[in-house]
Amino acid sequence: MYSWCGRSILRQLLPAARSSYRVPLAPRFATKTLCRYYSTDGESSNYILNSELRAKAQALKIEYKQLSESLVNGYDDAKMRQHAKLESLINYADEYEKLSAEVNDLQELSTATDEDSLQLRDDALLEMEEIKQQMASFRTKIERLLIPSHPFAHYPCIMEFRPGIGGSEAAIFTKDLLEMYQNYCQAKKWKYSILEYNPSGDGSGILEGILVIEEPGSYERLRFEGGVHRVQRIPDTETKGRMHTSTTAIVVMPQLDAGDENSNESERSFAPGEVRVDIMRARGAGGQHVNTTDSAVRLTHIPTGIVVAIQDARSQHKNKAKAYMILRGRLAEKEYNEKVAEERKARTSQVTSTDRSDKLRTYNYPQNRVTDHRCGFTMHDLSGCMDGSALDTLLDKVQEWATNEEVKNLQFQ
Amino acid sequence: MRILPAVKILARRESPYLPLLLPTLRDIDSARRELRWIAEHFHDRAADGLAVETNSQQKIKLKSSLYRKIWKACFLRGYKGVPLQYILGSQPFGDSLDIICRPGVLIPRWETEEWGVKIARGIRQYHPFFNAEENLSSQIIFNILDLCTGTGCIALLFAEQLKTNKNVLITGIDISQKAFTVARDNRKANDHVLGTNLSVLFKVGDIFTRDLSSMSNIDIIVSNPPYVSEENYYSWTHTERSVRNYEPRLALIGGVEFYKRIFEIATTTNAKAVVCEISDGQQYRDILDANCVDSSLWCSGSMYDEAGVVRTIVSWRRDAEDEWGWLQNLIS
Ligand SMILES: C[S@@+](CC[C@H](N)C(=O)[O-])C[C@H]1O[C@@H](n2cnc3c(N)ncnc32)[C@H](O)[C@@H]1O
Repeated sequence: MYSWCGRSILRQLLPAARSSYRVPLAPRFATKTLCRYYSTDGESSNYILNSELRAKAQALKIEYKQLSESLVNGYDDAKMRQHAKLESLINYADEYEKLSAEVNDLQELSTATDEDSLQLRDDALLEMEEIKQQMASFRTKIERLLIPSHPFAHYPCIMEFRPGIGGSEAAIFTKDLLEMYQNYCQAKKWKYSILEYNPSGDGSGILEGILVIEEPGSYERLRFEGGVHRVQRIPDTETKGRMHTSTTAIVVMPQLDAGDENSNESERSFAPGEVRVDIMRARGAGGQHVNTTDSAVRLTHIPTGIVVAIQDARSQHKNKAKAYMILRGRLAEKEYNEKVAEERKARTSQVTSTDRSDKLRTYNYPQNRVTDHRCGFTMHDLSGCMDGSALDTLLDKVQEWATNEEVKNLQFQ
Repeated sequence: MRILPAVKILARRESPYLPLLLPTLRDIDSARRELRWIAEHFHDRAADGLAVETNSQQKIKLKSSLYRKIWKACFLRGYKGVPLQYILGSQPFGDSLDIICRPGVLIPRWETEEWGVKIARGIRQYHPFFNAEENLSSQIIFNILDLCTGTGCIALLFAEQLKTNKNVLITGIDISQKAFTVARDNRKANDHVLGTNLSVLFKVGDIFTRDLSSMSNIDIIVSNPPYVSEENYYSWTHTERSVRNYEPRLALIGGVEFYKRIFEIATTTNAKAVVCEISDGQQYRDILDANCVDSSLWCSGSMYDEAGVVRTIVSWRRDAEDEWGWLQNLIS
């Protein structure tokens, strides 16, 4: 029906019917933030389904009917799944239309101005609020089914952390962020490991860290975390009480040979000569003459110039396998982004750009707040965010924003 | 090479243990890395005790003993130049092995791991025995002989890489009783690579005298025999001091005579392929010049390691081209 390729990088990934994985949604948080959203912003329209999507859903009824008929003639696994998917889509769409009609009715009542209808009007407004919330939930469900999924949606992921501007403060913040995602994984009971950990000179921060998350689908959940994160706080060492601003760059990429760094699948996916391998040259003649522990490996992908260096494990063999795994993830990410960018350029439609050099979030310690600049969402629970327990609230908001962007960029054939 | 005073000061500021490591490791990055490995190793071992201990007095005691251990390890490593693998007691090897290392037995090298993985994966992928469609009758066994097995790392690496439902027997032989004990312990510590159809046996024996004619159907001989010449052994530009001081002479000093003998054994045991680690390109030529390999019977070539040094001699019988011809793609 749809091909996923390159509509937009901002893509809400649907929990594909073929995989058992579901995007971890925390409804508790979702409703909480929803309420807040309403209370602060009366103009909220997040219950409104994009009109094109709405039309599409209706149009798919025909396909659904045809599919039902063809299934009578014989069982087909793929068709069956598509059928089930369409069925729930159509159910949601019908529910949505029904609610939408109700809202229209109520709308009339709610605009009544004569004295007699005042009580009625208040009731109508209350009722509408409730229905809109229901509609918002159907809207999400419909979008999930209609918006093509990201090709790597169900993969586990790798996150790389590097300090940006801000010297040793940046290194400390980089370590804090790495710990934040570790905490998040723990809270989610996701398996993870630290693949590379390169402490800064005084040990208070890190110069590089790589977190490998084994949970399938974690890529989908965390991929919008890639970019520049900014912190504003007063360092412990600051005598004049001045606030410092520093940044950390995070790269999120899919882990393509899932969970098994032992399989040399990553290595095999490169043509001979495509990757240059450099190792720490031991002194002397090597072999039996030398027993140093130099195990660092550096890979250079010749066509793109991407360099991956890993030195964390005591075994060169393992460092190499890890480096290949990361290289493959980076390339997949790069290729995908380029494809998206190219197709976007080919279209004239106005698209919000996500420049990677833009900061995507600010962590402000004195004010105990986190602000995501893409969706404009602010959370006054910095400690909850850093210990991983409240991060989901933020991620939900970001995902919502990403979906909106996605819908904006969606083209219909 | 002198250690810069600035590096020393930096190291001391960072951790009291770091300067201990510098005399051997020289640069601060290596020292930092090894310190982390050492600290993690002893921490992991003490973690259980620390976790269950509730008495704070006892806890402090445990902690200080932990710090003493780390201090001592750094001292041995940095000031005495003891190989890290002897201090930590092991070296990770292959995809999943942890090879026990004890003084008196040579520490496995990355070069060995590298060629071992290449050859074993090649066998798994291209040798007809592992790719035949029909289930080979239980009589047929793939036989691997690992001469001069030391810790048994090569034998266990092949076991790890070749574990399938097919019958595989790997035999490792070493002259040293100490090596035999460590190899046996390694088999036990890594028994996840053994299987109902896969066995690894270790034997004590001198390859020059032991009668191996009872083994008559070897598929491949692999070996990392002692190959350091007497001259290179005492030359500090060739052989690290730590190697000379802490690793056994018996495991290191050797030369062409070993390769000659290995190919003799290959003939008596009907071996179809031989892969041996060598010192360098010169040794490869020496081996051929000494007529260790009868070129009317064997195809031979050499394989480089990742550091760009000629590291292995790879040979297979001309009459076993069907099974082993793929080795051609690995040699240069
Ligand atoms: C370089 S070590 C190799 C050990 C192990 N295969 C490895 O790759 O780490 C050589 C081994 O050969 C053994 N060795 C020396 N002379 C031998 C002989 N004549 N017969 C059998 N083994 C011998 C030594 O005890 C030593 O363990």
